[in-house]
Amino acid sequence: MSELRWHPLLEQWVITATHRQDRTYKPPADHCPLCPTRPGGEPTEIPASSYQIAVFENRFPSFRTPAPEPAVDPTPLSPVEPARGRCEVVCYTPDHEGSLATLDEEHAFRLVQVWTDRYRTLMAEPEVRYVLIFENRGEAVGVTLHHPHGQIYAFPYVPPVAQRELEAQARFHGGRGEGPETCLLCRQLEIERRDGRRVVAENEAFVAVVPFYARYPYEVHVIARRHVSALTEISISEQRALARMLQGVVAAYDRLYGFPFPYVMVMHQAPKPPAPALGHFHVEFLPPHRTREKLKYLAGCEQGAGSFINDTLPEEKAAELRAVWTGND
Amino acid sequence: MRVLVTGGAGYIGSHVVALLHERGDTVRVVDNLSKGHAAAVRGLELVRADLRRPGEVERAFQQGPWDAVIHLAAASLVGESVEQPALYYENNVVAGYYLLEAMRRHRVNVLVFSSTAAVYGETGRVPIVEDEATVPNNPYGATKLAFEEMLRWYGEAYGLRYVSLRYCNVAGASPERGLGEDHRPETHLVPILLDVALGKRPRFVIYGDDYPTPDGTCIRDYIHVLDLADAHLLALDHLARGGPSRVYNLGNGSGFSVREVYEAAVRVTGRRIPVEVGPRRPGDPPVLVADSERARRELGWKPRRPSVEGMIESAWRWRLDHPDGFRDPDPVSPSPAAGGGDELPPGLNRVQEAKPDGRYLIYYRFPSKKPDRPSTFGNDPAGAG
Repeated sequence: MSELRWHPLLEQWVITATHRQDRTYKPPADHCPLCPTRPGGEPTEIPASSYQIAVFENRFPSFRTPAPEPAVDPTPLSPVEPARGRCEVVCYTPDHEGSLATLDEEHAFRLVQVWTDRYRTLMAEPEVRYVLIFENRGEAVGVTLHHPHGQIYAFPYVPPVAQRELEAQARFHGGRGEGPETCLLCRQLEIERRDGRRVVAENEAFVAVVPFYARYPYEVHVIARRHVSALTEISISEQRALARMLQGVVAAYDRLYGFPFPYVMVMHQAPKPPAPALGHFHVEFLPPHRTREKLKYLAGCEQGAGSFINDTLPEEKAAELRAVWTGND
Repeated sequence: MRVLVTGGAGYIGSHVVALLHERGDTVRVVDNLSKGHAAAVRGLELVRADLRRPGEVERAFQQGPWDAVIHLAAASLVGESVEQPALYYENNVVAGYYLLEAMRRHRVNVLVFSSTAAVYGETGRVPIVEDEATVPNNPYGATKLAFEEMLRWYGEAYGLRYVSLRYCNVAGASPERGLGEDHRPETHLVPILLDVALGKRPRFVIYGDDYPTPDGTCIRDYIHVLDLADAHLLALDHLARGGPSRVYNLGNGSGFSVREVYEAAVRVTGRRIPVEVGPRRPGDPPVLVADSERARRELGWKPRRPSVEGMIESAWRWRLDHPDGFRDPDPVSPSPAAGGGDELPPGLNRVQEAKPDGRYLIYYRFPSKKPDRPSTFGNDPAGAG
């Protein structure tokens, strides 16, 4: 069962997907569904005995096409829609151990190209309005499979966080049209680079920064230096630069406390018009840890009011990350 | 602003509509879909109405008030206009009259008109400025000019304020927005070149290479469709600020020869484009280039995408994404990633298969620097785990 139910107070969709209760929960390593199928062994999600990067439709999708008809009737306040779209799993590597950071450089670059191809392909589907490429890593963010992988949700609407950011960017460029001179994030990047205290690293095409307005202690945004709105607009050398920068961030996280640092990584890319703006391409890392042992919980103020309390200084956290930076940039 | 856009589902109109929507204006597309594509304005309000029918025009103005109209609906083929002038008077003049009358009833006083450099006829002067005499030499130019004159007299008598944009050739696409050029039949240079590159037409014909130009082929002004759409928005803003009625030329300033465009298409597509030289076509002047100094000065407009390669490149990307134009693939296709690998970067391969339960699985392959790296099988008891 899955459908979209409208939340009339928050004016946003809630995805009801009860079938996801049954999904695979932390299987033992010898039953990893994302490993290649061992010759003669029990079949995994990937029947081949080896692969480089593989993508498949999630077995427990929140969105699918064609979508089942909703099993409930709408209320006078809450329309109900079929949960159309796609949910994919992206297996970064056949190796069960490791992370984005431990892929060899060429492999990480190809992963960026795979993401690009998925974005382009899914955006071409008629019912899709927004493609969210993300990775949940670590049990602290609810990960049920440890094999290095990410996910892609192709939404039938522009989800609220993206919508809000795009509206802010549209207000910023006003009637001036969207371009580098009128872009909010181009301006923010200029502010961060001029100040410098929160910049973690930069290369020829991307900058990693703990933004002035970070909500999480170790929040890092990887922002395109050129005004582009999606992966499909970056060049091959920029794809390589992005791969290096993302690997650099994860490697720094992992060195910070000496264990694989949990995070949610989310790419912010252009929606399908009509939309308030196309926006400026960036990747956000949202790690829940605030110290080696302590997690930041989203509690009363965050969940109940939507206001984040960050009890650390972004300037200091950026310095900590710079100190453990080993990337080539 | 609340804007009605006639012809908003067409090639230029859909780009205008997208930019208006993106900057937060409320847009209603009015189109009879004779040439336009509903898929080009998906998600926006579309009123299917034919401007030649006053009742339908009235319906298009309901739920106002509207602040302005951008009028792009027209019949626009020079050759056809010579053979069927009645169609052009009906579409470009009679329909225009019904539109202006509806605006008058609904007290909408602002209009941006998508006109044409064909109103000048064969001036022989290069580049053409707005004060040049208007002596159209075909019904297309004549009917566009007739509507411009209507605008002028409606302005004098009823207070209508308008901007008329005169331009020549438009090219390019906005693949990021899913917008491009899809005419049936196709008569435009760039899409024809791309058709040949894709093998959908046998060859490209250059009509005459003995003109008095550097390489002997005709020189035309091309502007990127997004630059043209920008100009429509700037014209709208000019009128919204209370600016006076004006006529503006829009052009690239220099122009490109047919052979230059052909060579650029070969470079951009990297494909073979068989070419042959045919005889001149009657009525083709050697050089047509518009001087857009006035638009630059007064509207602050300048072509931000002046390179012909850039125009072709964007059109090519759209064509690769939409090999059948706006005829979208089957919406419930179970294999979204199936098909050719044209758009994949060099070295990346994609092989798709179906799982027993119908879900798709895609293997991406690429040359590896460590080709025989053994994988650590998670389900191998002896492996790392």
